Amino acid sequence: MSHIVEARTTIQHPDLTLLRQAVEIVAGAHEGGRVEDHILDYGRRRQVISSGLAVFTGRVFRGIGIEIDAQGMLSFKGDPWTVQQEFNQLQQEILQTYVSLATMAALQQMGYSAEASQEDTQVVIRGVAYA
Amino acid sequence: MPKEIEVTVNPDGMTKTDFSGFAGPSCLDAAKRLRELLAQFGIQSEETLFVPKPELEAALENDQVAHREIGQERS
Repeated sequence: MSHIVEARTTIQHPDLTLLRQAVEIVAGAHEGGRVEDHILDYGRRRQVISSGLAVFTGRVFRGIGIEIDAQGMLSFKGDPWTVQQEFNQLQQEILQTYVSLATMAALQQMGYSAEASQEDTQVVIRGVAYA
Repeated sequence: MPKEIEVTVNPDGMTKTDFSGFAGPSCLDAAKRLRELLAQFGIQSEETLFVPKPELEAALENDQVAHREIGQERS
């Protein structure tokens, strides 16, 4: 009647509306967080991000941008100097939030009522269907 | 009994999906549908572990026995 699956996920050709939503959620969770369409380089010069999505926080003050290449693959662009840990954490949070939002949307499309909760570093999404 | 799908998303993008309350092997159909819908959002899932619960194991074994019996009848 039931089973458990563990899987490794990769993102290619993401849904841009959902990606923006994920970026806004992550920015909103950090002090001084905001979404911009550019990052700053080491000389504080603006570098436009092709997806139009970059996150700035109080710590990552030069920003982290999300680039999408011709194959639809995501990469992160920015200068992590002195903030490498926060830079890496933001990347993980954006990916985790995107996968979580997509999972919520998929479960709802399947007719499940879905709720998400944060449990330590994990996001747990519970979908229930009574039909 | 409601059907439940619980998905745990780790910071590194690994997911663990727990299907419960499904009749027979219908959980496998639900898993396939979920994978298809996630693919629409650009998410590709590469399965690293599959653990059938005892009820699914029994259903799959019965299915195999039924297929074997049909095969023997035909031969």
